[in-house]
Amino acid sequence: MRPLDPELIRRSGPIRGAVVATVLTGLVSATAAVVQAASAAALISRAFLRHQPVTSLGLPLAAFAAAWLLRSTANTVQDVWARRSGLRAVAALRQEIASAYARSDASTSTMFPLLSRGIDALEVYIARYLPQLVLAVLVPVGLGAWILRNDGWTAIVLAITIPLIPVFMALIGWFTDAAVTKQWSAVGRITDVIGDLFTGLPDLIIFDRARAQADVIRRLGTDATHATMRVLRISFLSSFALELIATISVAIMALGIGLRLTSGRIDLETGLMILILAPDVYLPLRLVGTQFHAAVEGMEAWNQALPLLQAHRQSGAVLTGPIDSLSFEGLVCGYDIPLTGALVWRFERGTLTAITGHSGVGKSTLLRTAAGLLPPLSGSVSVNGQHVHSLDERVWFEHVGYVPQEPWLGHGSVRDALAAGARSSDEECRAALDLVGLQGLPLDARIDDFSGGVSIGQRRRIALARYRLRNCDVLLLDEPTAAVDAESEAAILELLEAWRAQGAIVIVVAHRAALVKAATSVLHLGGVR
Amino acid sequence: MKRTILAVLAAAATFASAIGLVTTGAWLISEAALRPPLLTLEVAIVSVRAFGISRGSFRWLERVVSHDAALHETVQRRAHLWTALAKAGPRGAWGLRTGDAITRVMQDAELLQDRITRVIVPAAAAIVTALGAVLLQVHLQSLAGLLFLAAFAVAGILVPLLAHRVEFAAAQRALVERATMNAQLAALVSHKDEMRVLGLVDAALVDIAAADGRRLRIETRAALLSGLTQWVALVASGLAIVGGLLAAIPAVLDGSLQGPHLAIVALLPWSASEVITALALAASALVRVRSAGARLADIETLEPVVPAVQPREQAGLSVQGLAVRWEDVDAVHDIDIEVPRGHRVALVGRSGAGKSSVVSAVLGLVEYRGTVAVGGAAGDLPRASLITAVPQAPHIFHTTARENLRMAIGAVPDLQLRRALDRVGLAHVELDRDLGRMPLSGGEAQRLGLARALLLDAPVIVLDEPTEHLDEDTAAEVMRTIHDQTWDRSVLMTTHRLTDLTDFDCIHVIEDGTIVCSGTFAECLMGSAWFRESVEWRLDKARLD
Repeated sequence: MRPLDPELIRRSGPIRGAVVATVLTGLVSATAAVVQAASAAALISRAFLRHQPVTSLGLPLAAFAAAWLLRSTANTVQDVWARRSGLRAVAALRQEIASAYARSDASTSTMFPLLSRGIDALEVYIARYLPQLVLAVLVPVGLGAWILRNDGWTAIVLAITIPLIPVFMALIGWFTDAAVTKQWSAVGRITDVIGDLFTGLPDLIIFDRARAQADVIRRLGTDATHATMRVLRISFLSSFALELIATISVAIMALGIGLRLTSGRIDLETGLMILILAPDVYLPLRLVGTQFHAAVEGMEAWNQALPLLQAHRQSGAVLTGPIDSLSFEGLVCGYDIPLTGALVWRFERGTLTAITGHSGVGKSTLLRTAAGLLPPLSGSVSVNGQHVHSLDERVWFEHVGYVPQEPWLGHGSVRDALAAGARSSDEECRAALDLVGLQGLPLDARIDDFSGGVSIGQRRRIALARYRLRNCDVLLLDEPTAAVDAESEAAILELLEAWRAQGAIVIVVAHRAALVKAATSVLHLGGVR
Repeated sequence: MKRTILAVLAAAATFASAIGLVTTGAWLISEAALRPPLLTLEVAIVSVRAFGISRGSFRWLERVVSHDAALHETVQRRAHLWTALAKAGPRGAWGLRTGDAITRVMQDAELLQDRITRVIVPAAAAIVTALGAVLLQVHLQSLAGLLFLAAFAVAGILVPLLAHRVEFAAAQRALVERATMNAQLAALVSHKDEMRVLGLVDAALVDIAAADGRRLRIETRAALLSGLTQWVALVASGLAIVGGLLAAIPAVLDGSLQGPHLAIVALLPWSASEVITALALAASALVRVRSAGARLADIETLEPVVPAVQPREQAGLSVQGLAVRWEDVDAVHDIDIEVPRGHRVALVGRSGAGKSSVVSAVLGLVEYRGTVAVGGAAGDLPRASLITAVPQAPHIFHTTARENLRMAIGAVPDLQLRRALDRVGLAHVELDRDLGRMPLSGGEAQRLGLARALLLDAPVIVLDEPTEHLDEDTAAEVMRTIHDQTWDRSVLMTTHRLTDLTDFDCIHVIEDGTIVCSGTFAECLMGSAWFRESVEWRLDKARLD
C-alpha cells in the first residue's frame, strides 16, 4: 500500500482545494493551541503561585477564551470542509471510473461494489489522510520549534521520539497490504453473491432453497468479518502503539519537567505550557496513522480501478461515410479461449444472414464481437474497411441495433423502454409495437427487474421494437423469434425483411426453421471442438 | 450483549484514564513547583504512567470488542434480511431494484454496525465518565462543578438530541439517494452492452451524477449540522474551563481550594471535552443508524403473498378457478387444469395470453386466487417437494455447475449429477466449471435448468418453453429426454413449438387470459382457429426445408 499515489492526486482536481483548506485550518488550530497552552499555564501558575486575583488576570483569560474559540471553530470548519470536498472529489472520481468501465470491454463481477462502496471509501483518503500528511510534517516542526525556544531539554525528547512514529507506521503499512486485499475480495464476494441470489430468487423459491441461502450469506459474512477483523486488529494495534509512543514520550517530558521544577531549574508556567502542548505535537502524526488505516479500503478500490482508467481509450476513429459492408477478417472470438475458428465473411447491405450452429458453439459471442462489444481474440471485424474496435463508439453505435437473448428494458414503463432515452411520441411507440405483434400491450405497463407481467417473449419483442424507432444500418439480433407464437414470429420476420429491404445489414442467431428460411444466407458455425 | 457491556466499560476506562492522565499530570507539576520532597510525588508519578498505558490499552480493548460484536451482529442481520426477502418472494419484493436490494443488505446493514461502535458504546461510556468528572469537580469546587454540569447537560445531551431531530429526515433522504445511485450503477454494470449500443451510457452517468450530487448536498448539510453540534460541545467545554477558573481562582486566594488543585479544576473540563464531543458524534451516528434501520425494516416487514399448495387425495396436479392479477387487471382468470399422474398437458396461446402467469402461480411466484392442489403425496409438504420446474429463463448462479445442480436436490454423489448433465446433452460441461467466470450459452443454460429440474423427484413437473434457444436437433433430443424421464409424473408444459404436442394427453389453448379450447391435438385443430393456423404456419415453414 503506497502512502501517496501521485496518479490519484493528478486525477482528482477538487482535492487540491480540500488539502489547502484542511492545512490552513490545521495551522490556525495549531497556532491557537500554542496560545491556549501558554495562556492557561500563565493563568494557573500566576493564580496559584503568585496569588494574583482574577481582576489582574484579564489578559490571559481573554487570550485563552479567544484561542479556545478559534481552535474549536478551526477544527469544525476543517471537518465540514473536508467532508464536503471529499464527497465532491469522490463523486468526480466515480463518474470517471464508471464512464471508463461503461465504455470498456471489461466485465468484472466486483465492479458494482467497487463503484459504490469502494469509491465511497476513497473519501477518507482524499479528504482526511492526504491533508493530514501535510499537517503531520508542518505542525510537529512548528510546535517543536516553539518548545525548543522555551525548553531545550523537552525539544530533545521530541526530536528523538517523533521519528519513531513514521518508522513504525511504515512497518505496519507493510503488513496491512495483504490483509486489505483479502478483506476487499471477501466483501466483493458477498456483494456479488447477494446480487446473484436476489436475481435468482424465483429459481430458489421453485426449489424451496431460498431460505437455505441464509446459511450461505452467514458463512460468507463470517468470512468477510474475519477478514475485516484482521485489518481492524492491525489498525487498532498500530494506533495503540502510536498512542503509547506519544504517551510515554509525554510522561518522560513530564518527569523531566517535574524533577527540574523541584530543583528550580524551570518555572511552573513554562513547564505547564509545554506539558499541555506536548500531546498536540504528536497528534497530527497519530492521526496520519489512524487515517491511513481508515483509507486503505479506498486505496484498494483505487488500485482496482486504476487499470481501467489507464486502458480507457478517449476516442477512436470516426466512422466515415454510410456503411456499405461489414466483414469478418480471420475473426476468432471467445472469452479467453477461442470458441470459433478464423472466420472470413462479408455482409453486404440488404442481406439477412442467419448464424446457425449447435447450442454452445459461440453464436451469441460472435454477435457481441461483431457489435464491437467484445474484442476479438484475433483477426478483426471491419466496416467500410475500418476496424470496429478502433472506431469512436458513439458514432458507431448510432448505426447499430443489438438485441441479446435476455434484453434489458430498464426499470419503468413499456413507453420508457421503447423510447430508451430518445424522444418518441405515443403514436410512434404504438406503431412500433404493432410491427412486432404487441398491439394489445399498454404503454403504461410496468417493467421490473423480475420479468413479471411482461413475458420474456414480449420483452424480446419490445427490445426489437425500440430499434424500429431508430434508423439502424446494422442489426445484430440473438434469436429474435424465440419464445413467441407463430403470429408474432410472422410479424417479426416481416420486420426483419423490412429492415433488409431498406438496405440494412441484418444478422440473426437462428434456431427456428422459419427464421433460417427467411435468411438470404446462412453462416453455420461448426466450432473448434 | 456481554461484549457490548465489556466494550462500554473499556470505553469508560479509556475516557477516565485520559482525564486521569491530564489531571494527575497537572497536579504533579503544580505540586512539584512547591518543591516538596520527591517521595510525596511518587504515587502521582506512578499513576501518570499507569494512566498513560491504561488509556491506550483500554482503547484498544474497546475497539476490538465493540467491532467484533458489531460485525457479528451484522452477519446475523444480513442472514435475517435475506430470510425476509426469501419469505416475501419476488412478488413480495416487487419493485425493489437489484442494486437497491444489495445496498440494503450490504451497506445499510453495515451502517447499523455503528449502533454499537459509534452510538451505544461511546455514549454510555461518555455519560458515565462525564458524571464521574462532574462529581470530582463539584467535590473540588462546587461552583466550578455546577458550571461543568451545565455545559455537559446542554452540549452533551440537549444539543445533540436537538440535532438528532433536525437531521433525521435528511439522513433518510441521503440513504435513499445512495440506493438510487447504486441501483443505477448496478444497472450500468450489468447491462452496459445494451446501454452502450443504445447510447444511454451518458444519460445513465448523468443520472448517477445527479443522485450523487443530491446526496452530496444532503450530506454536506448534515456535516454542517454535526459540525455545529461539535462546535457547541467544544465551546461549552471552553466556557466550563473559563467559568471554572473564575470560580476557582478566588477560592485559591481565600484558601478554600488547595493551590495544586487549581490545575485540576482547569484541566478536568478540558480533557472532558472529548467526552462531550463523543456524545455529539454519537448523536449524528444515531441518525444514520436509525435511518438505515428504517430501510431494513421495510424488508423485514415484507409479508409472504403466495397461498400454500392444497393437498388432495388423487395423484396429480389440479388447478381450479385460478386467477392472477397484474396491476389491478386480471391477467388470467377461471383457469381449470387437471393433470393426472402419467399425463402430459400443454398450455399454449399467443405470447402474452397468460401462460406465464399460470405457470408463475402454480410455481408459487405470484399471488393468486383459486386453488393449486397436488395429490399422491402425504401430508403438508412444501410446494418444492411436490412441483419441480424449468422456468422460462433458468437463473444460473455464479458458482460451479455442481452447485447449480445441487441447488435443486442438495448433496448427492457427482455420478448422479454427471448423469443428469449427460442426459440433456451437456456432457462437455465439467462439474467443476465456474459458470460465473465461464458462462453457459442460452441453450446450455436452458438445458442445465432441465437437468436441475429432473434431478428432483417431484410428482409434478412444470416446463415453461423448455426447448427455446435450442437448435431443432437438440430441441428434439430434449423433448425425448423429457418423455423418458417424466412418464410416471404429471407434466404441465408451455411451448410455441405446437408440433411437439401431437401425443400430449390434453392441450389447453389460452386466449386473453382464459382457456378457450381444451382437448387432444386433433381436437384443438378443430376447436381453435388460432391453434390450427399456428400449426399450419409452422408446418408450412418446415416444409420449405
